[in-house]
Amino acid sequence: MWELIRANRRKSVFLVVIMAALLFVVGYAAGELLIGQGGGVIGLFFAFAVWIIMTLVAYFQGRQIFMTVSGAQKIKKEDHPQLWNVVEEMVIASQLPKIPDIYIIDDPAPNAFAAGRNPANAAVAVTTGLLNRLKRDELQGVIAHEIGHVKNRDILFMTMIGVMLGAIVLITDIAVRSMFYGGHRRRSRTASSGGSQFELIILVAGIVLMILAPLLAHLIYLAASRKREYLADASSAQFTRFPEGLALALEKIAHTPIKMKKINRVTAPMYTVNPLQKASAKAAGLFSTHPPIGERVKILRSMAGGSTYMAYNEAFQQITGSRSSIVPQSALISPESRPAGTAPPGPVPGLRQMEGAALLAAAVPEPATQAGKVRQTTDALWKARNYRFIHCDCGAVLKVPPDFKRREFKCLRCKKVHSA
Amino acid sequence: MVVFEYRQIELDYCPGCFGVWFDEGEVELLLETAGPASGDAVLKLIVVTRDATETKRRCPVCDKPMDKASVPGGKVILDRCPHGNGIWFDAGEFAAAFAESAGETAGQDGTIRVITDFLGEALDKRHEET
Repeated sequence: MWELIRANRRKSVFLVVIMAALLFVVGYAAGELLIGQGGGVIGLFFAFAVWIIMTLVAYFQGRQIFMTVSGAQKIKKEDHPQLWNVVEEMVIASQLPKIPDIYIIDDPAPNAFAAGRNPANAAVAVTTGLLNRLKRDELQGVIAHEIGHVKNRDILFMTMIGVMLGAIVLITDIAVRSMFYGGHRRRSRTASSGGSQFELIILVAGIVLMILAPLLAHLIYLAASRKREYLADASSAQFTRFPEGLALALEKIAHTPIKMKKINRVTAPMYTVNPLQKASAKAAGLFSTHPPIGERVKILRSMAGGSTYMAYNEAFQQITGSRSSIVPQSALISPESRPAGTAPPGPVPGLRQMEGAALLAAAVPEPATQAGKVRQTTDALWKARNYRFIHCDCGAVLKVPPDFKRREFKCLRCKKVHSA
Repeated sequence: MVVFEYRQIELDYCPGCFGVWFDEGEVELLLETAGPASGDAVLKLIVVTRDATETKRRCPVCDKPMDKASVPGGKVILDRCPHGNGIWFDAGEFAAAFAESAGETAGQDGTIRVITDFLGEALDKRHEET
């Protein structure tokens, strides 16, 4: 998969350079226009500062920003042992160097996404709706898809472009608003020359950014290209060795009528299933970030030759009628024909470790009832928010928030007094 | 608000006034647990009463003013979110009283009985010693 990793890294560098070029042009032009001759250098300086800050923030804080924007809550192993267990298994199967941080988003719509800058600094987020609706095999399929994104190094580029687009949208918004309100003020009083210059800066910046924003939005669509999604599906089949799990999960996600609460154009392409895309869309248009779900399910179900990348590739070509290969060549080489000394593509030495994963899986069983499952999910959220659990003698469980003010309180059921 | 879990169903309650919030998701979960109860009838059975004089409360989920409602013939007035986010009982005793009075009037209906049975059992004072 080295071709992919390299391509993703190249794209990330390309993005940073493009951003620099655009910002420098804007900065120079704004400086020349507003300060007069020689002012372009000052404009360049500001543009450079903005570019440095933006790149550093996107690289080092991108993941955190994404998690905050989508309202994700980081959980520990004891908060949701089953979810942790599933992620752990997939980490072993995919041979990631480290278990990614696991987040839960309090949202009834089932979905998931991954973010981060590299496999050692990755995060996977799932919604409560996903945890409540999916069976263990299905959840495993979705987690494996996300781990696939981490493994294939899709996350760095997607995270960076997301943050940069977010920043551009935010700056445009501020510029457009202040332009609008600034216009009113100008009419009501005689503008000083400094004031009009300031307004002109904002005007220029606003117009340029307004042109830039949709361009970047388009870039994000290229980033979350359909090929990436197909490949993450292929990774999922390979890691779980059970393509049907993801197929069932995709169907469930597509047929859930609930819409996600906190969703926007910036974060949408990050999810397993694009939350803004209509489930009924049949043709994968030029601008759709994800392939149509029906087709993804069909490919997964027609994987006749096992659960390998090769089997997925054959199924993909058969279903779509496309001749192009969805999986990079290095992953399609069978271990026998591999030249001596080159590293095999993961799953072969992973086999023995899969047995270990199966043992781990046995350790955390799935709750028997739907109510038990929902409680497992909500309890994970309460624990992540540092609620204290008090087991009352009457059989009730009281969950007390960390900022609870009272010293003592009564149980709703038996009226027994507990101290907080 | 303290979260109160009984028989794997969660209620939120205020330890100061013993007001109880029964979230729609939890009502659904309760009905699912009880088996195939009569579907979406919950909100129809709890009807809006127009002559209530109490001041309106706002829904803790969507912040819209809630409707005053009750089960036909029932004595307890409760607050119901117009968007179906859940039901608010002014005090824990209210929810228990609701369970009693609604149990009498709507005893034949599966859906409402599941709810009243649960509330009755979860909040009944007779369980004090157990």
